[in-house]
Amino acid sequence: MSEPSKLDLTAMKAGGLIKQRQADLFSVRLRIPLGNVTSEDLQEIAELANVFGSGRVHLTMRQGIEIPDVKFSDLDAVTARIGKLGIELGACGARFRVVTACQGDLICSHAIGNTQELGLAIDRAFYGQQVPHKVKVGVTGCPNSCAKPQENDIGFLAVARPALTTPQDCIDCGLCADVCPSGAITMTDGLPVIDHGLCSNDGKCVFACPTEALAFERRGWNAYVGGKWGRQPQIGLLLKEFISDDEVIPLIQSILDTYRRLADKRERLGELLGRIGLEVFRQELGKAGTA
Amino acid sequence: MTAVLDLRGTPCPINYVKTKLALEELEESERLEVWLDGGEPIENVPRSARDDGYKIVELGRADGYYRVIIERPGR
Repeated sequence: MSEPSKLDLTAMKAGGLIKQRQADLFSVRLRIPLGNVTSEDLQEIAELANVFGSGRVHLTMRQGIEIPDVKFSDLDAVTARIGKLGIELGACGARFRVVTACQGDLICSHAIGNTQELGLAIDRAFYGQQVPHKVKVGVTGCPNSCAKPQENDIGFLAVARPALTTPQDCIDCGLCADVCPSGAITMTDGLPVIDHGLCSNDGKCVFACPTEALAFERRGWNAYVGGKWGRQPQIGLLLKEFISDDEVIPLIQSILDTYRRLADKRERLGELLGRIGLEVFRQELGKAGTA
Repeated sequence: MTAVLDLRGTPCPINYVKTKLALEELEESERLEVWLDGGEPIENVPRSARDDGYKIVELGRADGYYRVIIERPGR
């Protein structure tokens, strides 16, 4: 093996350089927030994989990119060139991991939330922070939940509450009632009546309405906590409904503060929640101040 | 006489593309009747036509499908 390089050992501990099972080889994990990478950067990453790796690039489970099969002696050169692109190494271990998200209303016809803006704000605020165990965050643009927020330690799901805002435009077609997956709409005297107890706030009725008689009267995010996979998978629990964009960062801060204060060594947020229960966790969040 | 475009059995997004092409042939205030299946087609096609600036003037049910009447707005 070559001489230990000038490689920043602190950076190495923060993760991103994953020792492979093969002697002297590392897989270089890149921080790719929300899975978005420019075509220029992608070309440079491909070039790095050709020059320093084996010409193979791996797409990770969390929308990231790894360059496998990089020799120890080349890690300096690879990390320097990645750094020039403005891309950091990807977090591993007991850290706040890269945020994942669907494309949201940037492209998706189903989406009712701007997952890109929110996801990037979360990534900027918390990425790489040390926490008792890994913390993963997922942001999804509608209740279809393509980005699976409920399997993350903290998840956000866009919701929008429909209302008959211009009843004079309603043509009594009943399409809103037909398309509602929750059966929350009944046509009464030629107009839709929405049962908000059944409504899943997915916006399908508003999107389907041919005359825009229905519109959203409220938008926000449902927040989930404690989702995880691993040996004992569990689905995140609904912590808050319809919080605004501005409430998300303070909420995550108070969740992390509470998690750091209460967690046993290497205890996942979901395990803590299983141990103390959601209601006690809520009370403890209150003590953290911002929730 | 309103022209009829039968798109029963035509999947998304082909049904939208065919509707769009037919709508572009209309004169101002002229109408097109489109027949669509339930599910994705009826959820998507009227919405897309609406977003393209056309007006949905009527939406009714026939035996197992929807009849949508779309109008090209006048200036």
